[in-house]
Amino acid sequence: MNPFFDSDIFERAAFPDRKNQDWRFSDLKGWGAENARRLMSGGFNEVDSYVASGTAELLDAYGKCFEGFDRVLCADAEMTYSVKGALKIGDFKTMLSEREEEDFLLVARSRGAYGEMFASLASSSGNVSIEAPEGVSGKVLVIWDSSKYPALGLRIKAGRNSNLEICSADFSPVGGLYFKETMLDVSEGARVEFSSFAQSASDARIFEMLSADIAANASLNGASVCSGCSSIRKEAALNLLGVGADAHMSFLQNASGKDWHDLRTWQRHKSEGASSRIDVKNIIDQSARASFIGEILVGKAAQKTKAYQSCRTLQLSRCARVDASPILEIEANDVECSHGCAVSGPNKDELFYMACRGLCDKAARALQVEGFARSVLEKISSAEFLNFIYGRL
Amino acid sequence: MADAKETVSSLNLDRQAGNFSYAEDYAYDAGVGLTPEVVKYISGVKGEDQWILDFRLKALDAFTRMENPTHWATKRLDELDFSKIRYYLAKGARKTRSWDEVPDDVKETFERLGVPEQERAFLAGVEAQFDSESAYSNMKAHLEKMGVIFVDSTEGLMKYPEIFRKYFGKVIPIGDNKYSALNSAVFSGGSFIYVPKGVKVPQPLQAYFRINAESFGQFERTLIIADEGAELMYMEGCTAPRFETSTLHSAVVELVALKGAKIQYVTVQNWSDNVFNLVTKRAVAHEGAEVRWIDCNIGSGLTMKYPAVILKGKGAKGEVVSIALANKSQHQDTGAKMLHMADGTSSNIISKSISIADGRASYRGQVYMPPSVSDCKNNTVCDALLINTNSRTDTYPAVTCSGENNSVQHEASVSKLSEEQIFYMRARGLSEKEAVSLAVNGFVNDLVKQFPMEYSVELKRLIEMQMEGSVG
Repeated sequence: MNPFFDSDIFERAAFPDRKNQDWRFSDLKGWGAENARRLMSGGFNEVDSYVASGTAELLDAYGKCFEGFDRVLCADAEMTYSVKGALKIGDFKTMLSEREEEDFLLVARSRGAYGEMFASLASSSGNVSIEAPEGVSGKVLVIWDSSKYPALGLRIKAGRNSNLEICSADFSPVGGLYFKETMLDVSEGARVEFSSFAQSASDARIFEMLSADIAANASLNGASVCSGCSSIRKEAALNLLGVGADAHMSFLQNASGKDWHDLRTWQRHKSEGASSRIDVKNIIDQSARASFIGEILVGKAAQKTKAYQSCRTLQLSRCARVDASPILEIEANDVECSHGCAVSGPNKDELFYMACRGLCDKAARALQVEGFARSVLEKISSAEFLNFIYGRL
Repeated sequence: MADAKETVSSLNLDRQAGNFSYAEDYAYDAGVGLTPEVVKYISGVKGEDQWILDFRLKALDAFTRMENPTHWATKRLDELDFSKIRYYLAKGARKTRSWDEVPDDVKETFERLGVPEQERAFLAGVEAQFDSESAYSNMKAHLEKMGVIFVDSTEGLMKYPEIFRKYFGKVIPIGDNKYSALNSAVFSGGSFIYVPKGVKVPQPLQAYFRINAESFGQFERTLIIADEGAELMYMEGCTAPRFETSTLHSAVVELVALKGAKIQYVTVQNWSDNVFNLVTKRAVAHEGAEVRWIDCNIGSGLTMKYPAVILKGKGAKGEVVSIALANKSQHQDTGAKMLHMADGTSSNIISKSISIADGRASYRGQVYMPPSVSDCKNNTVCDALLINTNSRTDTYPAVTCSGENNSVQHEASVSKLSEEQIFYMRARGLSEKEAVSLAVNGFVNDLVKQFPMEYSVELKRLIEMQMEGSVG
């Protein structure tokens, strides 16, 4: 086990149980203390070469296209940065005050046992701060190989009226338990595009936290794609803090075999006149499971809120399973809030249409799946990153 | 059939009409608090067989062991002090088939509530319960000749044990939840209905539940069995006077619709706002059967009720139509559960809620399709209307879907009254109060139309009365 890790956490921390409503659809045994201890103890030597190849492939693509992008590489013994523009990029020690670093870890600790584990590892793992000063524009590609850094803290601050585009690719080629926390601070008038992609080996388990504070007249858009991850839990909280704040995030969970993808989101409206939207698409095949609990919370002061949420699932086989619970808690009356949830198998009329035009069943189904996923993939702002993701799906 | 307007005026179900009580003059009183001795007392008064007493005591044990489900439900449940509730009160008078033979105060109670008038006007049968026991029970003669049974649960247990015992406690077992365990321990009253094969009951059967005493708990137990091809509609209404102390209503309703049968169960709940209304309602629908819950919740301080249908047989259908109105300090936590356990089953859930002042309306639902089923469909629609700035609404659906060729769709929306609509109506001479009332009735209109006509007109009137004082 990592010598910096506080193993007392397994005894004292609140691991998820049946009563915890945030985890009611989750693999409680897989996320339980016993399994966490086993995964943290190491002993995983087999490398999934396909997942491992993702880092090299993306680096190669970065070298050929990704024009104008800065780069952060957390995939070697030392983290390296390639800073070409006016962004400020560095580790926490050089970029953050002690108070700022502590605030970062405080948010993580509020997530329960897994947040505490992340905080315990933070001092020995990769922590990156990316900052766009006022009025500055920039793009950054972040590549993380968790076999080199089991925990990654990503703190992103977009200054007033700045424009920031972040593409984050996570690869976990070796079994074990890994953690990532991303904190986005989007200042007044700033625009942030945030896209992420994750793949992992079959015995790797990933706990990922995303929290975004969006100020007045600021916006956050983006997409998160998870494909080829056996066990992943994402917790994403969007906090809309000022008038005109806007957030739109899309999630694609592509699960097959015995994968189990777990997504928990919050859209918290604390002030009036803000808008948010979360769209989730699940593609589940064989015996895979996808679960989604998404909450829209509108406080008493948040009049004139517009908040939407949708969860659509394409179920490709009998034993695949989805659990979805889109939640609304509304305490202001002058709002527009809605959610929708739909589950179905492949559309038979569409398959017949394509068969009539000469496509074999396999090709037709593949087209259907691609069409289903497209609306999320289109939200990825970087064409270069999107091309890379298409190649890995 | 009597003119609809006359019938409506005789229904007289508004809150103030129910806010009265008579002196507590009970021949049988189990005292305050819940112990095995109280359970034995109840069973002894009723003259029950040993198996029922054993059932009750087992349920009491389960109730004592189980916790309040406050990890997902409201913490207001912890306000209930079970040691201060009276679990059985009865006047000791025999149930009659004629209103003339009912004790005066009981008869006057139901006359003020319009029940005898309803019976004359449009019902096939009535069961009227006063506190713990049924005071009146009658059914049209021709239905009795066809083999329809409509009695209270005690009589059903005694006279028809072979049918009763076959289904009793099978749809909702003792350990289902804390409040079904409580009901199983101290149940009294409620209806037992059996409709034989192929019999279609042309008019509704009705039960009316009246609480008269303070610090009282009413625990009726209803069991309805519709045999193959049978059809019936059952309606229940309920009121209680408003006391300062809490009153508990914890009922269990089990429905069994055998092959090809149809059951419609209509409830208009208008308890006073000191009542905790915690009800477990569940139906089993066999092959080709249809079960429809039509549920309206306007009263009580806290209601927790999630009518469910287990779609057990191929091609079974389940539907829940729900209207909830949460006024000042009320919390209506209602919803529906559909469990698709056979191929080709379908379900539909429509829920509309209105929150006024600081009222809170919550929808809680479950749709379940396991890997073993195919060709199942579900559609769920939840709409919420918030009237005032401090009103609140929540939606907590849960969808689990596996299997072959199944489809689920769920949508929910929250909105306030349209300012354009209100302006339009006011420009045509309506007061703000009238305009708001009309808009709210329009919001629920398509669901209210699904209630029996006599109820739908009165329901609209009840909603209008709830709107008073909410504007401005």
